[in-house]
Amino acid sequence: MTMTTEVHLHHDDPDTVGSRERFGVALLIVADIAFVFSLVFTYTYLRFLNTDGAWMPEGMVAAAPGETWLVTGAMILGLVVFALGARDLKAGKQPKFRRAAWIALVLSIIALVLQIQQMRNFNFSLGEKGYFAGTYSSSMMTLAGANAFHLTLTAIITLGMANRARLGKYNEPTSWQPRLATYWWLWVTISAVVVGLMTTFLVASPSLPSMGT
Amino acid sequence: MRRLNIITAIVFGLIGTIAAHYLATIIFVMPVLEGDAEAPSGLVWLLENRIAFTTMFGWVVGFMIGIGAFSGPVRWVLGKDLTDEEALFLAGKDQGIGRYFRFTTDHKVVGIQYLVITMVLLGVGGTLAMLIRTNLMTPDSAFLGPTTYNTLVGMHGIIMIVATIIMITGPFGNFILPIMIGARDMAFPRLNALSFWLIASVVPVLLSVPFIGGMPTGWTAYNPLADQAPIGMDGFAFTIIVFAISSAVAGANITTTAVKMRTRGMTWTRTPIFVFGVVASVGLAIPAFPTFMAAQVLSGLDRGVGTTFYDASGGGSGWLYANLFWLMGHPEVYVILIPALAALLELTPVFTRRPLFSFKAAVVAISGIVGLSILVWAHHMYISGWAPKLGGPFMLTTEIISIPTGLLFLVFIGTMWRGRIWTRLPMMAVYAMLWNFVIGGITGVYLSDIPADEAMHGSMFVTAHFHYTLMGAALTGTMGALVYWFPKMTGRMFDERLGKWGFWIAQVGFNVTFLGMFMVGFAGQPRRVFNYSEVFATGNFISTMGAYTIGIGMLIFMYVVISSWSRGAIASSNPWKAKTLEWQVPTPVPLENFDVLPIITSDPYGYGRPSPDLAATDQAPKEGASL
Amino acid sequence: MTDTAVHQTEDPPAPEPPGWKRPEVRSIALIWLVLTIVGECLVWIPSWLMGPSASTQMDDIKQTMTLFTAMSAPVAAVIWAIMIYSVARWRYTGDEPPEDDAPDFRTNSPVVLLWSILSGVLTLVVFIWGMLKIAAIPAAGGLAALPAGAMPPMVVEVTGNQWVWNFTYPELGNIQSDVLYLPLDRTTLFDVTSADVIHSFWIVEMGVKVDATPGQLTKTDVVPHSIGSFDVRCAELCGLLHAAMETQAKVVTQEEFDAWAQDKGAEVPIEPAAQEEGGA
Repeated sequence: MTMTTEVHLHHDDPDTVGSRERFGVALLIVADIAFVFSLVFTYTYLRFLNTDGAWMPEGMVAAAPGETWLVTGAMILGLVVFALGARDLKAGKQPKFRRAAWIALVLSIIALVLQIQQMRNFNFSLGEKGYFAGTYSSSMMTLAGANAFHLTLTAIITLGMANRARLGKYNEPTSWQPRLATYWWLWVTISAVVVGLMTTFLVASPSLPSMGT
Repeated sequence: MRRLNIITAIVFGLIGTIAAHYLATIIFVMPVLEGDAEAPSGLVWLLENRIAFTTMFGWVVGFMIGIGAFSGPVRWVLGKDLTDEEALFLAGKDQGIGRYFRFTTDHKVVGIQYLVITMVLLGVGGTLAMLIRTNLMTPDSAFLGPTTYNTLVGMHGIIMIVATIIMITGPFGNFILPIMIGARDMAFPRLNALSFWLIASVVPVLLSVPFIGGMPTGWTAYNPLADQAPIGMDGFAFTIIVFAISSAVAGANITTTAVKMRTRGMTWTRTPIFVFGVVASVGLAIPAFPTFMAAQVLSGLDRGVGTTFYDASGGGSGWLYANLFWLMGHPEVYVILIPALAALLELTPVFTRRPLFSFKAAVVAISGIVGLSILVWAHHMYISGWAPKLGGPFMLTTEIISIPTGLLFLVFIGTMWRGRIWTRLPMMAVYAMLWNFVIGGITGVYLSDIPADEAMHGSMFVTAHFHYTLMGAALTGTMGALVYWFPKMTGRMFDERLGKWGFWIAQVGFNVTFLGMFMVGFAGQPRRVFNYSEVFATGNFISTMGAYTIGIGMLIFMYVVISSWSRGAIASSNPWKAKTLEWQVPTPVPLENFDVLPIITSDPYGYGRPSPDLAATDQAPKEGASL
Repeated sequence: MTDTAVHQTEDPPAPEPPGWKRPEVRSIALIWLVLTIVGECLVWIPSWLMGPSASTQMDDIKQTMTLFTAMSAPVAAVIWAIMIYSVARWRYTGDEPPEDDAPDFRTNSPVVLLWSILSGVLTLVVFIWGMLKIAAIPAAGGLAALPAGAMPPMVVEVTGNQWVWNFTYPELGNIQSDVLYLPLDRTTLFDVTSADVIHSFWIVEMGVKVDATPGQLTKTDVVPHSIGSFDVRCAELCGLLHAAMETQAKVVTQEEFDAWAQDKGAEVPIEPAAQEEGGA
């Protein structure tokens, strides 16, 4: 099974590649949506079940939603800045996109730091040492962790965008690449807003405790 | 990048393993030791799992660095994109056999890599099945003992699930599909290599499970049972997480390729049915597998971080796990089955010399199964007491699936109707599959009925049923597909003279094994038991004898695969006179497949002379015009 | 011999007879009939393999099995008949692909339509049958309505432990047993839970099965209609000795049951009220 050596690399035109990559990224986002959906389902289902009354055991204080919205606010700001920058790039304004990408990078890092700060500030220690007390605290920590993971990826992607923009890699015909990053920004922000709304307004369990073990 | 290959991957992986293990020990254990002299046992347990997870993570990250998976993303961030020359090197140009051991992007290389890893996994899983059946040959056998037995049952399950999920879409979806649609490579060649090497990196983790405590839970890994299990369970959870990432990447890649890269003129109605089957499978996996991954992430957090998602005393519930698991678990059986059936649908017209009967019905059936499959997960939980009121609706959705499935049967027998049945091994696989799948389908109808399920759930009947579908239909289909595409993938003909003996011995053994299992299932033998009461002795003995027969048949078949691959007769480019594109390119297939991309003017099923009742005047045979 | 059917259709250029009058259709119909009759003669096998029945719901389940098998036989026979005929009469055995192709018709709309309608009807029958049976017998977690004038149901609390079953009779002063005693012909209500991991409470000959889940109470019930000793097993993998998690369900007359409860009750103090209720 030897190959012929007379091979030259075929290149497809940027529009074709762009439409292909948009489709692929959308599919990867669908996979992440399914993952976030699983965590949302976990939160709502365990809240509904309230097994043993241990959704929020007595003495448990709900996390203040302020910090959640601070993180989400930074993400929304980052999304807006980045999306506007990507639009400027499409209109041929490369310096504007460059600036927007750096600002968005800073915002994503701020959001990440705030998110980690929130996880450190959670005050859920009611259980045995090392264990969480109840499913509310478990879910909150997991959702925050998932968002921190989202933000880490966002920061890496935005860093690449900013650096590549600095090197002049992006212009009008390749403006679809920043648009891909905009899709990702949009999705992580939506997921943060949805989770934020859920954890702000759906806290105490509506169900009586089910029987104990 | 040029120096990286599987050797560097293993070296880096081992370095990563050791580094991660020590780092984890220092970071997690030191603060505890400083805090109080005697850490509570619960905390020690969490730390053990945390260290186990970190160590496995270190292995995979090290391995992936060593194979070169991260050089692409890093260079992207740095803005140093690949030059053409580097891209050609990555595609495996002029590297001979070495390209199979690198992060090679050529879809044909990835296809062969997948084929080999699938066969290795099937071999390991099959060996475990032999051990399991040996233990069950007689009641009160002490061959394995309960601890080993339970672990082997789980290992057999998960290894076979992983192997069967990738067995069509991996080898044939990668090697064949792009050529079939007239593309030069996949949409994302580097993601393609990534999806394979992620699996390759995590297979050692999976195989290490029995040696680090095992997993006494079966492949379903139900919580809270999994919460009690030794750190082998972490290996399982970690494997699933990596495997889910690999599937998502492969799914996005193959789906994009099929949707966006079909050559000019290949409208959806001119696209081969195999492409539909593969897209249905990997497309279904994209939303389905992340829920499985989430279930394992939560399981890992329970075990390593101390959350209480599945712990009833902490407000958790096993029903949460079951729901997340089966949200994936039912689509998953179609992820396995559909592409195998689609491969057989693809080759049936070639061996009956007739057009595919009712292409539209086949597409409708595949879409119908995909659509319904995400609405039926709770039929695995009829007797869990989770939501008794939803039993009726789930029974309805489950039973409706039999309509599109029945339509697929019609497409098969319709294509065979009045055909010139060329009795080569691929066509024989169609016959074997139809026989097995009829039985698998009918027993599925029994299980879909809630009252009947109250007797059958959790019994050997269920085991026999799903083996009839996943092994009798899907694996049989894969064997047919392998023989069919063997000449194109290896350049040599498959030796059918000996191969058909292996195939038929395995088929006979298969039916003996699982008919015996139906017997004991009806009589009430539970699944996953290392021991059983005297009344089930006959059925179990029959099953074990059947299993050994399968083993003999499979060994012969495997031998033929290896011997034909190394010294079979050289194949012409189109030995079956088939009309799909992959048979129109030379064998071996050149890098980038096509110098000039073909333009399609008709579907690839233009076999057959005009039927007198359709066009009595035109006797001239119609030449296929797919090129 | 291998291709008579095909050659017959090739030689006379005259239009073919309509599909249902073609010679192969009659042969296939005959094979189908034979296979169906053979299948119908074997429909008793599942029910026979399932062994004796100890409750009305097990009677219903066995009846369902027989009915589904009877319905399946002609369906399977269609596929198998065509498989048998096609490989016997339309076979071509050469090393090279056949020179002449088969007819090129691509679909047959009436057949596709008929096939879809028939499978739809069969599905509907299966579904309606299932719903009727769910209404008539207790499904997991759903309870049957009591017939008027029947004795009040007796509650048994079932707890799964790794790897034993534990039965508590709250109305009989919480007497406990590791063997399930049930009075004949009386509705028994099971409140099932687990102390550790998920088990599945299964009385084989009664068709009773419901999961025992930690932290949750699942319910089912049964009316035993046969005296005897039956198998209780665990139907969900629950760890090391899952296979050994077995016990007996002993169905006895009400009098024998009362005597047993009395004996058992002597081991622990019985509340008088509960004893009266138990003896009533």
